[in-house]
Amino acid sequence: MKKAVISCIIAVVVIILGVVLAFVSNVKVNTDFAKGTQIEIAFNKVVTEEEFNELSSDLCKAIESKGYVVEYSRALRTVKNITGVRFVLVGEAKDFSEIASADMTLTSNVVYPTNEQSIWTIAWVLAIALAVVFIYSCIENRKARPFVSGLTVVVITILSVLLAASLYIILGLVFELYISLLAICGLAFVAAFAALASVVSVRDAKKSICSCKWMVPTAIISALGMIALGVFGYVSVMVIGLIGIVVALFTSVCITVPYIKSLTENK
Amino acid sequence: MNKTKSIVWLCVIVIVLALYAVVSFLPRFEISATDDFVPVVEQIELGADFALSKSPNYRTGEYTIFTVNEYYTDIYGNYVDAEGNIVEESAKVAIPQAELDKKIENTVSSMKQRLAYMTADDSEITVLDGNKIRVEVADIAGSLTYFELLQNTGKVEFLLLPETPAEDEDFSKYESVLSQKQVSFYGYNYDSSTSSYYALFSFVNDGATVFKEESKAYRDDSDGVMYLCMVIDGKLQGTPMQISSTYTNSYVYFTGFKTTSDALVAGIMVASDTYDATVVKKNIDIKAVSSKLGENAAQNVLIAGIVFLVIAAVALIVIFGGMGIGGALGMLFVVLLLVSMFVLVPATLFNLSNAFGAFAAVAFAFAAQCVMFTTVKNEFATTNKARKLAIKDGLKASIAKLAGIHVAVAAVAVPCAVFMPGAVCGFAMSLVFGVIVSAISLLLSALLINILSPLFSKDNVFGLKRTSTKEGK
Repeated sequence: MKKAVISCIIAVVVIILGVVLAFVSNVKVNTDFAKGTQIEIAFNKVVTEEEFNELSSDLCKAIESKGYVVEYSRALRTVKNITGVRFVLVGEAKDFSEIASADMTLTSNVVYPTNEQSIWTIAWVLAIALAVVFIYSCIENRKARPFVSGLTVVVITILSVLLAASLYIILGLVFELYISLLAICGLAFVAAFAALASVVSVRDAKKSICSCKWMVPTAIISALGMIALGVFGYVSVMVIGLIGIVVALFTSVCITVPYIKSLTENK
Repeated sequence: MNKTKSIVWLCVIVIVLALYAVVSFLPRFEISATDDFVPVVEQIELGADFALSKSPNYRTGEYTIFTVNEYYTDIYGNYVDAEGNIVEESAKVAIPQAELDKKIENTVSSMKQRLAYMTADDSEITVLDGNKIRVEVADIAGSLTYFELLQNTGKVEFLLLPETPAEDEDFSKYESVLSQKQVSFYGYNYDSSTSSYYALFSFVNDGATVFKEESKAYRDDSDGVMYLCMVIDGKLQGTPMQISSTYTNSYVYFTGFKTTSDALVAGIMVASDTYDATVVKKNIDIKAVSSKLGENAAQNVLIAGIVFLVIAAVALIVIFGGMGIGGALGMLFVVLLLVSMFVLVPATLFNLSNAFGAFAAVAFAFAAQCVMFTTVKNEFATTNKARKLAIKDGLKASIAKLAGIHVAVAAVAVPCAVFMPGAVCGFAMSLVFGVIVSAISLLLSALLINILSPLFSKDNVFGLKRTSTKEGK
């Protein structure tokens, strides 16, 4: 029980730290949720794929050297030829007219976010998910402490989502991560895996079986999968995935299992 | 099951899986002058992140930009003041930026409704500079139709006229007897009696009562025939509906549409909200754009996925020994089924969020395999049962746990897939697929454990180890 309480305290401290940092510092959001800048550079000549890759890379470096963050770039083209490039930058940016050379035409626009999600939609979705998990867990553990088991799974899942969100905010400040739709996907990933882990670990703990035997390899392999994505260029997905895996493992092994074990032993 | 039978069954399963893998991943090649062999993985419809166009030869999408009128105007193009009174062009009134932003937000929402009705399932709408709306679609063959459909404000009016309207009829002097919320688009079909198409609308809310009273009031004032006209943005749609008595039906319909597209457009305008902001009408300038993540992004995800599969398969064999071979084949089956799911469910376009979801789905399937094997291992270790019996009871004992983890993940994924828009929905859809394929693959893995068991005489090589000292029967 002592282990569970200490772990809970650590989790709550991290959550509070994340909430405080979210209010105190400027949490960065990408163009999914905040205004950004679009720069379109027309080449005024036909370029090949290879020339485009080189030009695009040079222009991207020039923009980033001015302290702006390029969210993504896309080739502007006809069906056959590439005619220019579009960069979308995080935040409202100015002063980049000298980036384009004499044979290029640069235009810029402010990009308005169109993916703003209602926080209530996310809350409702989470509430539905938790209700299903709670009911299932109560039914599964109907012979002994059904409500305790159900509540444990629900509380652990909520705690995991909050913990992952806080960790993302904290790491975001250190590594310049942005809150995006993918980050919201990451939270859904945390919710799914935390619910999964806690449902099984409640059952295992009641029967004094060690959940680590399947949970640790799963976490390692899942982490390697996320790293594979990171190696092939999807770094933000990797970071969100890794946070999700660590959080699900932590809450399950350090909170759920010791808590349920202590309840079973006391009985 | 004896050793020979086991080998035969194992060979059959491996051959079937190998053939499935070949059909799924073998590179495209020419079969004849007109036909190509296209692997399952290449049949996945890629979204805007990977490739905008559904056609692999044209990896582009198309976009156009609509400029929003920054001055108050009515649907007939007249400049008006904030109260709607017509004013001269010299006295036109600019819409305050905050109000314009809100109007544009509502207009974007209406545009999304229209695109959804036209099944433009991979489109993106972006607001630029607070006065322009850019619409990108992946379907380059139908892009012009979509863009034309988005040009109209979509103000729908149902007017009762005493006679058939003249060609240059000024509809602004009549008031609509029904609002857009009182009718619902039911469908369209060919009308052989008029050799044209008709659009059918049913009354909703208090539409039937309101129209009955309106037609009754008209009949009380005049004994003449009345004509119900459907007018969109001041233009008559189809042929007016002739009514000669108090109207009591639950629907109205309009014939005279020359094409199915005309009838469908009328229906879509009723089904979607009127634009809050008016769009400046001019020639549609279409431009092309490539995918968001570059040309090789889809291939990179595929390679990362194969790397992940190999790691998972090797890990299962290392952790669970001979039993893990069943798990490794089960994981291969998971990936193959997952790829097929993305093809079989055509509404799903594959974007980065789907790829992330697919990785999470494979991780989930791996967790399920681990839970099953650990339970079998535990059953053998802690009881004195013979291997066959321990496997049987272990598999039985794992059912409740496996049901639990599948319910837990489905409980999160299904509401997200149903209620959340965009990327989160894509991620959740992949996870829902993952739950389905994991459940199926577990059946294969359970079968494989029983098939593989006779091939491994030593328990520890098969991945089982006793913790008690007594020998089993």
